[in-house]
Amino acid sequence: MKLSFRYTPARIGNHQIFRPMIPLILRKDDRHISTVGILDSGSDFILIPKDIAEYLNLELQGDEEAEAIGGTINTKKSSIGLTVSDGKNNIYLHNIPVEVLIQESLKEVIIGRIPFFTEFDILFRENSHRIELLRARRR
Amino acid sequence: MPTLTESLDENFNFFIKEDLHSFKGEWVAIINKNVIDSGDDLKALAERVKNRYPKEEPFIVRAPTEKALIL
Repeated sequence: MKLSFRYTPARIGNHQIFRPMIPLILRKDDRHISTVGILDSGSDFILIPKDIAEYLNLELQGDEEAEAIGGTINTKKSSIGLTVSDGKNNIYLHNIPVEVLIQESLKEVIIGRIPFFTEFDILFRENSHRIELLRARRR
Repeated sequence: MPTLTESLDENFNFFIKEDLHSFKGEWVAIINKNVIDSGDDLKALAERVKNRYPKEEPFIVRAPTEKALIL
Protein backbone atom coordinates (compact mmCIF):
# COMPACT_ATOMS: atom_id res chain seq x y z
CA MET A 1 0.00 0.00 0.00
CA LYS A 2 1.37 3.41 -1.00
CA LEU A 3 0.39 6.83 0.34
CA SER A 4 1.46 9.99 -1.44
CA PHE A 5 1.59 13.61 -0.28
CA ARG A 6 2.72 16.92 -1.65
CA TYR A 7 5.34 18.91 0.28
CA THR A 8 4.04 21.89 2.25
CA PRO A 9 5.24 25.30 1.07
CA ALA A 10 6.52 27.85 3.59
CA ARG A 11 7.94 31.30 3.14
CA ILE A 12 11.23 32.41 4.69
CA GLY A 13 11.80 36.04 3.85
CA ASN A 14 11.70 36.27 0.07
CA HIS A 15 12.26 32.56 -0.42
CA GLN A 16 9.71 29.80 -0.71
CA ILE A 17 10.79 26.45 0.67
CA PHE A 18 8.98 23.10 0.81
CA ARG A 19 8.72 20.83 3.83
CA PRO A 20 7.92 17.09 4.04
CA MET A 21 4.82 17.33 6.21
CA ILE A 22 2.07 14.73 6.35
CA PRO A 23 -1.48 14.83 7.73
CA LEU A 24 -2.05 12.81 10.89
CA ILE A 25 -4.74 11.94 13.39
CA LEU A 26 -3.21 11.51 16.86
CA ARG A 27 -5.34 9.60 19.36
CA LYS A 28 -5.40 8.79 23.04
CA ASP A 29 -8.44 7.08 24.53
CA ASP A 30 -11.50 9.19 23.59
CA ARG A 31 -9.54 12.25 22.42
CA HIS A 32 -7.95 12.91 19.06
CA ILE A 33 -6.53 15.75 17.00
CA SER A 34 -6.22 16.10 13.23
CA THR A 35 -2.94 17.87 12.49
CA VAL A 36 0.36 17.59 10.62
CA GLY A 37 3.80 16.20 11.38
CA ILE A 38 7.15 16.82 9.73
CA LEU A 39 9.16 13.79 8.67
CA ASP A 40 12.69 13.92 10.09
CA SER A 41 15.06 11.04 9.42
CA GLY A 42 17.63 12.67 11.74
CA SER A 43 15.43 12.29 14.81
CA ASP A 44 15.49 9.01 16.65
CA PHE A 45 11.93 9.21 17.97
CA ILE A 46 8.54 10.83 17.41
CA LEU A 47 8.37 14.12 19.31
CA ILE A 48 5.06 15.61 20.41
CA PRO A 49 4.86 19.26 21.56
CA LYS A 50 3.62 19.92 25.07
CA ASP A 51 0.44 21.67 23.82
CA ILE A 52 -0.78 18.60 21.93
CA ALA A 53 0.21 16.25 24.78
CA GLU A 54 -1.89 18.33 27.19
CA TYR A 55 -4.85 18.42 24.81
CA LEU A 56 -4.76 14.62 24.44
CA ASN A 57 -4.29 14.15 28.21
CA LEU A 58 -1.26 11.98 27.58
CA GLU A 59 0.10 10.13 30.57
CA LEU A 60 3.75 11.13 30.90
CA GLN A 61 6.44 8.89 32.31
CA GLY A 62 10.10 9.23 33.20
CA ASP A 63 12.49 12.09 32.75
CA GLU A 64 14.56 11.85 29.60
CA GLU A 65 17.23 14.02 28.06
CA ALA A 66 17.94 14.22 24.35
CA GLU A 67 20.54 16.01 22.28
CA ALA A 68 19.14 18.58 19.88
CA ILE A 69 20.32 21.58 17.94
CA GLY A 70 21.02 24.17 20.60
CA GLY A 71 21.71 21.73 23.43
CA THR A 72 19.95 19.27 25.67
CA ILE A 73 16.16 19.05 25.72
CA ASN A 74 13.96 17.42 28.35
CA THR A 75 11.31 14.95 27.35
CA LYS A 76 8.93 12.46 28.91
CA LYS A 77 7.73 9.17 27.45
CA SER A 78 4.17 8.42 26.41
CA SER A 79 2.21 6.52 23.77
CA ILE A 80 -0.46 7.37 21.20
CA GLY A 81 -2.41 5.94 18.30
CA LEU A 82 -1.55 7.49 14.95
CA THR A 83 -3.50 7.45 11.68
CA VAL A 84 -1.92 8.58 8.44
CA SER A 85 -4.13 9.04 5.40
CA ASP A 86 -3.82 10.45 1.90
CA GLY A 87 -7.58 10.38 1.38
CA LYS A 88 -7.43 7.07 -0.49
CA ASN A 89 -5.62 4.84 1.96
CA ASN A 90 -5.51 4.97 5.75
CA ILE A 91 -3.01 3.28 8.02
CA TYR A 92 -3.42 3.15 11.79
CA LEU A 93 -0.50 2.54 14.10
CA HIS A 94 -1.69 1.43 17.52
CA ASN A 95 -0.05 2.41 20.79
CA ILE A 96 3.25 3.69 19.48
CA PRO A 97 5.91 5.22 21.74
CA VAL A 98 6.50 8.98 21.61
CA GLU A 99 8.58 11.53 23.42
CA VAL A 100 6.84 14.64 24.73
CA LEU A 101 8.84 17.86 24.71
CA ILE A 102 8.62 19.57 28.09
CA GLN A 103 9.87 22.96 26.92
CA GLU A 104 7.48 25.04 24.85
CA SER A 105 10.19 26.01 22.38
CA LEU A 106 8.96 23.82 19.53
CA LYS A 107 5.35 23.45 18.38
CA GLU A 108 5.84 20.97 15.54
CA VAL A 109 5.10 17.26 15.63
CA ILE A 110 8.38 15.64 14.60
CA ILE A 111 8.02 12.23 12.99
CA GLY A 112 11.35 10.60 13.76
CA ARG A 113 12.49 7.13 12.79
CA ILE A 114 11.34 4.92 15.66
CA PRO A 115 8.85 3.44 14.99
CA PHE A 116 7.49 5.34 11.96
CA PHE A 117 10.40 4.67 9.61
CA THR A 118 10.28 0.97 10.47
CA GLU A 119 6.58 0.84 9.55
CA PHE A 120 7.10 2.58 6.18
CA ASP A 121 9.72 2.78 3.47
CA ILE A 122 9.78 6.50 2.80
CA LEU A 123 10.75 8.17 -0.44
CA PHE A 124 11.48 11.89 -0.37
CA ARG A 125 11.03 13.14 -3.94
CA GLU A 126 12.74 16.43 -3.14
CA ASN A 127 12.77 17.73 -6.71
CA SER A 128 9.09 17.08 -7.38
CA HIS A 129 8.07 18.01 -3.81
CA ARG A 130 6.36 14.74 -3.05
CA ILE A 131 6.61 12.15 -0.30
CA GLU A 132 5.71 8.49 -0.77
CA LEU A 133 5.08 6.14 2.11
CA LEU A 134 5.18 2.44 1.33
CA ARG A 135 4.00 0.07 4.02
CA ALA A 136 7.12 -1.89 4.93
CA ARG A 137 7.20 -5.63 4.47
CA ARG A 138 7.93 -7.44 7.69
CA ARG A 139 10.58 -10.17 7.59
CA MET B 1 -20.94 13.92 6.47
CA PRO B 2 -17.30 13.24 5.58
CA THR B 3 -15.33 10.68 7.57
CA LEU B 4 -12.44 11.72 9.81
CA THR B 5 -9.87 10.81 7.19
CA GLU B 6 -11.83 12.50 4.38
CA SER B 7 -11.90 15.71 6.45
CA LEU B 8 -8.19 15.29 7.20
CA ASP B 9 -7.32 15.00 3.51
CA GLU B 10 -9.56 17.89 2.44
CA ASN B 11 -8.28 20.26 5.10
CA PHE B 12 -4.62 19.24 4.67
CA ASN B 13 -4.88 20.09 0.97
CA PHE B 14 -6.40 23.45 1.91
CA PHE B 15 -3.59 24.03 4.45
CA ILE B 16 -0.80 23.48 1.91
CA LYS B 17 -2.38 25.89 -0.59
CA GLU B 18 -3.59 28.62 1.75
CA ASP B 19 -1.49 31.61 2.72
CA LEU B 20 -1.59 31.58 6.55
CA HIS B 21 0.98 34.35 6.82
CA SER B 22 -1.28 36.56 8.92
CA PHE B 23 -1.57 33.82 11.59
CA LYS B 24 2.15 33.06 11.80
CA GLY B 25 3.08 31.05 14.88
CA GLU B 26 -0.52 30.68 16.04
CA TRP B 27 -2.57 27.51 16.22
CA VAL B 28 -5.18 27.63 13.46
CA ALA B 29 -8.42 25.60 13.23
CA ILE B 30 -9.66 24.70 9.75
CA ILE B 31 -13.09 23.25 8.98
CA ASN B 32 -14.46 22.59 5.50
CA LYS B 33 -11.57 24.44 3.87
CA ASN B 34 -12.07 27.58 5.99
CA VAL B 35 -9.97 29.01 8.80
CA ILE B 36 -12.60 29.37 11.51
CA ASP B 37 -10.52 30.36 14.57
CA SER B 38 -6.96 30.80 15.81
CA GLY B 39 -5.01 31.47 18.99
CA ASP B 40 -1.86 30.79 21.00
CA ASP B 41 -3.56 28.35 23.41
CA LEU B 42 -4.28 25.07 21.64
CA LYS B 43 -6.54 23.65 24.34
CA ALA B 44 -8.68 26.81 24.53
CA LEU B 45 -8.91 26.96 20.73
CA ALA B 46 -9.99 23.33 20.48
CA GLU B 47 -12.66 23.82 23.16
CA ARG B 48 -14.04 26.94 21.45
CA VAL B 49 -14.24 25.12 18.12
CA LYS B 50 -15.86 22.07 19.70
CA ASN B 51 -18.53 24.27 21.30
CA ARG B 52 -19.25 26.19 18.08
CA TYR B 53 -19.03 23.25 15.65
CA PRO B 54 -19.79 20.12 17.69
CA LYS B 55 -20.40 17.91 14.65
CA GLU B 56 -17.41 19.00 12.60
CA GLU B 57 -13.86 17.67 12.64
CA PRO B 58 -11.37 20.55 12.92
CA PHE B 59 -7.88 20.31 11.45
CA ILE B 60 -5.60 22.10 13.89
CA VAL B 61 -2.14 23.16 12.81
CA ARG B 62 0.43 25.73 13.74
CA ALA B 63 0.66 28.37 11.03
CA PRO B 64 4.26 28.54 9.81
CA THR B 65 6.48 31.39 10.93
CA GLU B 66 9.02 32.95 8.58
CA LYS B 67 11.87 31.27 10.45
CA ALA B 68 13.77 28.30 9.05
CA LEU B 69 13.32 24.96 10.79
CA ILE B 70 16.62 23.30 11.67
CA LEU B 71 15.93 20.10 13.61
